[in-house]
Amino acid sequence: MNEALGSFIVPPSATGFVILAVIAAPVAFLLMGALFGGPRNIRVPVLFLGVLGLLVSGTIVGFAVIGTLLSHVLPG
Amino acid sequence: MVSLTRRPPIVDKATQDLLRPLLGRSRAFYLFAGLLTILVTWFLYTWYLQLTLGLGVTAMRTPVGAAWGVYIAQFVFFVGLAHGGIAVAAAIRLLKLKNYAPVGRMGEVLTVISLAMAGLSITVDMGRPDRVFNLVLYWPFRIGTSPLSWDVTVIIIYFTLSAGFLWLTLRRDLAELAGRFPRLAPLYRLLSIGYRPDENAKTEKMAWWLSIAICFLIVMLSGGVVPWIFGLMSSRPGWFSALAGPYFLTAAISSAIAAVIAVAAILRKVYRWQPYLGPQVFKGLGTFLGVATMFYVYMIFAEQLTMRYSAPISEFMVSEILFDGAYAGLFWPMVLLGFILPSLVLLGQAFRPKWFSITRTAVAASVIVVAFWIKRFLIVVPSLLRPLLPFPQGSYTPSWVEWSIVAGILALAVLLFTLFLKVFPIMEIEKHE
Repeated sequence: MNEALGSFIVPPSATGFVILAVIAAPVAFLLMGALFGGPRNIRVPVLFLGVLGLLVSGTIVGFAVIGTLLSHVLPG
Repeated sequence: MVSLTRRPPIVDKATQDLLRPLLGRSRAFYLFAGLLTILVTWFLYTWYLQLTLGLGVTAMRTPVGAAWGVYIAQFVFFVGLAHGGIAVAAAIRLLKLKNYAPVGRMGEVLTVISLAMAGLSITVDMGRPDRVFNLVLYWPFRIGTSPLSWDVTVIIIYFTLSAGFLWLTLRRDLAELAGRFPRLAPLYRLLSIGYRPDENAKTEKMAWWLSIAICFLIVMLSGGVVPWIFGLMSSRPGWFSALAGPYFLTAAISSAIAAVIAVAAILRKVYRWQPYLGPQVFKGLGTFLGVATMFYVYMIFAEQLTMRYSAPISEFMVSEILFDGAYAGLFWPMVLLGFILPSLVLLGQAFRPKWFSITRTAVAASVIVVAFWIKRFLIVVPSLLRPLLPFPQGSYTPSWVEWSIVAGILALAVLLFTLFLKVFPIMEIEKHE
């Protein structure tokens, strides 16, 4: 009964989304605090968001680049 | 590097002292960097061998043997270093611990480099690293159920925030230095783009908020998704444990504080930073490290008691590998000489201040760093040697290729730190001015 109820509330296939939400929601809230709280200044938050965007895109592009480079090294 | 004659005179002694790594051109520095470069080149060669000949050149085997070895141990080690490093920086900002401010940026840099090395350690462990982009490609289909996907996601979030945090806190110093180092000025101007002195208050406040976010992520990553890769695997005796989260978190914080102490002591000696890295920094961090490491010893005791007292036989057998088996020669020296003895030294110094010595603190911290590396190895390997499935017990002794790659990645981490030191100020200049 309890197991069925638990599976209904959080299906096993969605556990990861729940975990990410538990992690990402407070981080997003704190990030909002960093961007909009404190002394008024639009330039630094915009620059900071730009840097975060660059870092995330750089990491994703980095995965693609490393994968492509290594595909030339690996035999077959 | 930068011509001294072309640089405007630096009149402030504190600033000049702190910029010593950027100004210096000692032969020892270039020799050290050269040696590290040779090790990194050797790593690239051995990785090339592994890529072309396959994982058969390692000692990792399956189903009998260990499918994960020193690469994964190194990954967990670097993730631990990454968390504690920036934890120090975040705690300094959150709790306004001004005495410890000189080591804040060291922790931030340690974090960013360690995270990159953690990613590299995972990549070299993969049989087909050319498929690394599949992590992104199939992310939506895996994130629901795969702890490995949670891990990659949270590490990317953590890396992004940590690097952003470092950039934010560097801006003011870089804007200041752009006028003093003409050759590095384009890089400094690019990184401090749009800097205006009136933004300092906003930057401080943003750093404060981000510190809380980073502390939260440390708990979620080092005490959450990374240990869950191990702790959620019911098929592996020794890993399947609710203790995994706090166990890993304590190890992360202890090992990173130990690394920060060791790095700070080396830099203090090499660059004659005695006035800026005072004994109180080492006393405080050393005492905290002693307590945290002792707490970790208590957790080892709690874990082993559970595994030996009335646990299933497979758990007992894994414990037996450590107590009296193939890895007893690593386990007992690690516990006694790597954790308990240095902790007693550090706590002894806390109770009897006249015993305090920075060198002793740095040596104890360095021993603890090594012990935590060994501990990560002992977490990963023995459990894999005793599967629940009906296979005989395997064995694992890393091959020379694995040791070369591990040494090369460590050398790369030190090299990156050294290069950072040569190009950027490792202590906040403004705070000392």
